[in-house]
Amino acid sequence: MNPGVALLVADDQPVGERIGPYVFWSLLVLLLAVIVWARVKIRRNAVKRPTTAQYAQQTRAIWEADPATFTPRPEHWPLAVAAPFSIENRTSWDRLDFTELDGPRQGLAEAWAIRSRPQLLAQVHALLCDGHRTEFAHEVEQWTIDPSAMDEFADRIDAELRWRNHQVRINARDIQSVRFEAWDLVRAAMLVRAGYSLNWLSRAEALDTLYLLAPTLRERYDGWDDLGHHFFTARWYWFSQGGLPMADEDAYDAGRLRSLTDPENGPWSFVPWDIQVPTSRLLLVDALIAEGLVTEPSTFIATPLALQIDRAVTERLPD
Amino acid sequence: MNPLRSIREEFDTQAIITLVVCLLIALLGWWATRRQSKGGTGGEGYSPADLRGIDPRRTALDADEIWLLGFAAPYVEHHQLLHDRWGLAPDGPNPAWQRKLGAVLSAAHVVDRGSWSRLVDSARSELAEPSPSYNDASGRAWVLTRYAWLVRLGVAAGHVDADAARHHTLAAATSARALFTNWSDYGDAFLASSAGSAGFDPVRLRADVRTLYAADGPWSDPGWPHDLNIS
Repeated sequence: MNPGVALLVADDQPVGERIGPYVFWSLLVLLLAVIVWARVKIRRNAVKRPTTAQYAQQTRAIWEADPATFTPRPEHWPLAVAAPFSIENRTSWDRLDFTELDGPRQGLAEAWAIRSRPQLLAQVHALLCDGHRTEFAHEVEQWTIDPSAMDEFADRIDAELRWRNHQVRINARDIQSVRFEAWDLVRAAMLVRAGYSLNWLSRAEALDTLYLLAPTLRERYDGWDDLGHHFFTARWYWFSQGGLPMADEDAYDAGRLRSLTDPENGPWSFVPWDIQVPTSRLLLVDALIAEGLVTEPSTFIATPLALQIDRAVTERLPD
Repeated sequence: MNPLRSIREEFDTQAIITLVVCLLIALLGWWATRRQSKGGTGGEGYSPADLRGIDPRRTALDADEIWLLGFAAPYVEHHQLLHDRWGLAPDGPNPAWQRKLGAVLSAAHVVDRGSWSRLVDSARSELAEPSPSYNDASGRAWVLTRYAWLVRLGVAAGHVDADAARHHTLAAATSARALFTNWSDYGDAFLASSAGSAGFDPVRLRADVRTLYAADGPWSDPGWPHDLNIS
């Protein structure tokens, strides 16, 4: 008789007890396999995660000039604004163009869907006028006033929105007092540098657009430390994710902030917050009109910077 | 001695229960680790906005095919999908593309075949008997672009195949040849009608349309073919 059949029909023991040993060994092997697999996975993750020393090396600011003899000029102010991303891109913070072009070209295409001068101009315009700051400030304000405002939609909203709602409710990282301009305008500065590097902006357009950032940032923040605090907190809020990924991002961002403010090598230690910078002539508006991207004044003004740009559009549009 | 026999003789149901509990704990631990590594209660974090890479055009197509695919191009560029594929994404399984395409299909309410059919029928009716607001050239360009986009969404969702999509688009596009002879006029007409459309940043939409005329864009050759070799 087939042993398998015999197992089921032979003797008078209950079926459960007869097949018990086989189930026991199968489960034991499965349990051991899971334990071994979990240990391998934990070890692999531990190898991937950089050490503090590695982060310090990865986030060290790169200079074109010699810090020992560096004298800040007006253009260094907006370049210092863009410096968090020059650290990320491993490029010199103190020159307008990137020395290596594949990174910015790929970054603009993949992260921003920017493949042309018109698309770059449109994205810079969007960040200056609105970006994420209107939406983020609105949701923080709404949830601060009424923490349960989203409860009735809880089963229909995505995980990121739910995560942000929770952080506002518990006021994590003092998110209720964060001003989000830094998040949009630092990214705009990075886009301008990348756009200039790829010849999608002239030098005059790039510098003039960078100078446009100064009044808003100086009005909203007290200095480089304040700008950094709000930028990195806003970045955490945008990332909308807790757990290990955010722990990695936190470690990396802490390294960036340390590098930016490093007295020996940090850009923010070498450029005075209140150094005089030229007033922008809003050459961005001329470029938007010349490219046919703006054909009429906007019907929706979200921010003071959007109002400033829209007034220039109204004045400069051909009759 | 056979260990199975030994254990069988001393077998206790509690042993299995203990093992099952251990296994469940191990699985729970594995699930928690996995969940934590994916970001706790948050979302997926950064994911590329544009999966096309630096050079989005990869397939050599004949002029008629390029022309037909061009009718949905403003929407395709806006959503960073592939201009040279009727199904808008690379062939074969690709999780990142599937996620992206899934989000676009869901936002357009065309995942369900019935919903997609109703939208396509509505756009087709609009083309056949334009309402007063779509009776001029710019309105026609707007409706035709939307129709061509819906057809390609249908391919992406699996509601229709590429041959049928080609046939539907050709039928609609042929009627547009009386109004337009090149992409420049068509693009201008499309943008004129798109002003104030919900869901579009008008500056970005114009930038996307301008990009279609670039050397690697689907409208790089602005003239429409005089004679079509497809039927």
